[in-house]
Amino acid sequence: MPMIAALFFYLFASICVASAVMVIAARNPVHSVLFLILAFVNAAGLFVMMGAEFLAMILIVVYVGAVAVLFLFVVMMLDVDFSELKQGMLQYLPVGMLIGGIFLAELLLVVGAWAIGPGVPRAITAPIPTTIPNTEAIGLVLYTRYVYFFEAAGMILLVAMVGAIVLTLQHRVRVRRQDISEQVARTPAASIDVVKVRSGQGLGSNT
Amino acid sequence: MTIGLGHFLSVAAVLFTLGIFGIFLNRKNVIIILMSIELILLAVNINLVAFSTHLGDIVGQI
Repeated sequence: MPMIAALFFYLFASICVASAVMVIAARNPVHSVLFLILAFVNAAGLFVMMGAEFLAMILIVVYVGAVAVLFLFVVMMLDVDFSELKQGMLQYLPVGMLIGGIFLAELLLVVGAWAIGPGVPRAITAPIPTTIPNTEAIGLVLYTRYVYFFEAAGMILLVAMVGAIVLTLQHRVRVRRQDISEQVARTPAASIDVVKVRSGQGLGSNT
Repeated sequence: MTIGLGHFLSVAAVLFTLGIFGIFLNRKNVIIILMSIELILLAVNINLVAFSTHLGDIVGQI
C-alpha cells in the first residue's frame, strides 16, 4: 500500500511540475492555459492523497471550471500577436534563472531542515475528526468558528463584483434605449389616429 | 518509501519557483504572468494542506 501511494505521488507530482514548466515555456498561450488545467488537476490528485477531498473537488470545480475557462476566453478574445511578445524573452532569462535558482535553493534548504516546534501541537484549534467525512468536518468549523470571516469574504466578493460592473459599464448617449415609464405612460389618444379613408383617394385628402 | 510532509513541501517549492521564474520569463505577457501567479497560489495551497494534514488541524483547509 505505501508503494502504490508513493507511485501515485510521484506520478501526480511529476506531471504537475512538468505541466507547470510547460505553462511558462509554451509558445502559444492557449497551450499554456491547457497545461495550467493539467497542473491543477494533478494538484487536486495530490490533495486527495493528503486527505483533503473537499479542497480537491473545489480545486477542480473552481479553477478548472471557472478560472481556466476565463483565461481561455481572455486569450482567445484578445487575440494578441504573440510572436512579437516573445522577442524579449531571452533577455530576461539570466536574471530570471538567477532569482528562480536562489528561491529554489532557499526553499529546498528550508524543506530539508524543518522541524515542528514544541508548542505547535498544543496550539491546534480544531483537530481533524476521524468519524465524519472531510466535507462535513470543514463545514462544522467554517460555519461556526469562522462564520464572520466567511461573511466578510462574501461581502468583499460582492464589492469586487459591483466595482467591476461600475468600472466597465459605460452609458453611450447616441444609443436609443428602452424607456419603460414612457412606454407605460402612453395613451390611445396620444398615439392612435382613426381616419376614414374614401375609396379611390388615398390618405392624402384626409390629413 | 513512505510519502511524508517533506515530499509535498518539495513539490510546492518547485511549483513556487516555477511561478516566480515564469513572471520573469514572460514579462511582456500579462496573461502568462497571471497564470504564474496562479501557480504560486497553488504552491501556497499545497503547503497549507500539507501542514494541515500533518499536524491534524483542519483550520489549514478552511
